[in-house]
Amino acid sequence: MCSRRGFLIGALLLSQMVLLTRISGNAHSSRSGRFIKQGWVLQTGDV
Amino acid sequence: MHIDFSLSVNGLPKIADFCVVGSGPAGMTVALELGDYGRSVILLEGGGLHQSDESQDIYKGDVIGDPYFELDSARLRYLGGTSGHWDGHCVPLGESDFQKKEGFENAHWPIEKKGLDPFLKKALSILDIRQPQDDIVLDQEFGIKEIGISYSQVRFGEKYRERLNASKHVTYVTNANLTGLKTDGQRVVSVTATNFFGQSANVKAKHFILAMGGIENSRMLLWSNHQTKGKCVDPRAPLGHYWMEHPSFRVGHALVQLEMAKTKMRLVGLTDAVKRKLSTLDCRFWVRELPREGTQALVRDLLCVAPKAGAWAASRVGKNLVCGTTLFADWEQEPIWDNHVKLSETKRDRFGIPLTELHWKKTDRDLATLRKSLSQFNDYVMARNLGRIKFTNWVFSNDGFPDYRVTNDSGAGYHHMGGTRMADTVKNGVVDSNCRVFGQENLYIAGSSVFPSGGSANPTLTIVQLALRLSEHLRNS
Repeated sequence: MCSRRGFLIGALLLSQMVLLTRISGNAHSSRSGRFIKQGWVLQTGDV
Repeated sequence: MHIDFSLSVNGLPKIADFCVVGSGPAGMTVALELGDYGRSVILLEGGGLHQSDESQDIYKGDVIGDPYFELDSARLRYLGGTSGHWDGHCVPLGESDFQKKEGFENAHWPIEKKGLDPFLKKALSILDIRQPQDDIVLDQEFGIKEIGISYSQVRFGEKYRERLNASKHVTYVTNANLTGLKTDGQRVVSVTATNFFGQSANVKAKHFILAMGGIENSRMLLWSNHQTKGKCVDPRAPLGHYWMEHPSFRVGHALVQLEMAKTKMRLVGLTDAVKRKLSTLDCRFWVRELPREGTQALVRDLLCVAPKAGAWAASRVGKNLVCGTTLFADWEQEPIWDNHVKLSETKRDRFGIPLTELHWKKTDRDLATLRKSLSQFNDYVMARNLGRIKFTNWVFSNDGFPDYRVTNDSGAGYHHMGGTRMADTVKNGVVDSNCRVFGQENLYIAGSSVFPSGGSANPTLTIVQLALRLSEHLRNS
């Protein structure tokens, strides 16, 4: 049972990591220090 | 020699070496080239010497899927074809456009760029343009390049009519609509041409070349297949499928430090290395300078949203170091089975041939090409401190593509590609690498319908190169 639960948790974590990697690879607004405000792509220090 | 088929359907040569159907950039090039080498050519043009409603009506049809142009206004049907109203933008396809791309199973050619290179010089001469400057890499690390472009003013019907008139070997026949194609199952024996009064004549030739346009080539082959009970095109071929356009939208504005040419416009794209790294198809951006008021409005907007960035831009605008621009994107669409030309089941033209039913949609993967490319360009602009970009809302929202008619966008490039795609095998294409139709020994296709993938380049220069290559093949065969 334990190993089954461990496997499921591991699989869940792995799928989340894959998803996060994909999102950060595609979404322009997730790059560090960058954000979107009223359409403008800005970075810390712009405002 | 010119024959107006509406005056008489008699007087055609009994047989010619070649029968070319369609007189746009592809058909005109093939016909004149073969004529120049002393081959007898009958060039059939469905329309007349000038645009007419009766001819344009043949181009009517329905579009199923995304909003698209009226099919009878998206192309022209008279001598010279759609070159009668084109913008004249000429860009050659790049080396990577021909190659396999990871993650895109069908977006490659069975030939390489070097297969077309020998025909570039003559194609430029036919289009009366200089060779576009080689792409210039603006930033190696971010893979940003400036794309060279030339502008042709050639209207094929106007420019080459005198040459047609003077040709000893080319007989061009206007108002001669292709209405039938007879095959013995291996070779096309004759085609039927019909005028607008319904009078017909058969045209015999040793070889036949369909150069009717990026939609019409598919429609006529589908119709011929129907008429001959599948004897025209090998039934395994994906006839009509993998049709493509170049989506084209305004994607934002920018305040950028980018030296503008005299044209107030820069055309930029991504290098092959970065496209491979991003696993994306081709996309290019037109960066067009705004008038002073537009720049001022953008600065005011940025000052409100981000005072420090706005102050930076304002100080540079005053010194003409930064200008306001509009960003337009047009990009490569992935060739997919579902986008296809089909025969209408309910509507027919005046000759009884089913009208076109075009099934066309842009996909999430097409949107991904835009987003990845745009993100890369934005990364370059920000990392090099060249300015700030304001994206149009839909680009990174979950709303999908907007209706171009509502947003007042171009929507697409009027570039009709695919449907009779080129491939090594009949399973993957309608024509082989010599543009010969799988299933017929003497039937060829000229034009952008043979494109298996479209890159982001305007297609006409490639169309003319391919037409010259086909002419050479036909001369030697």
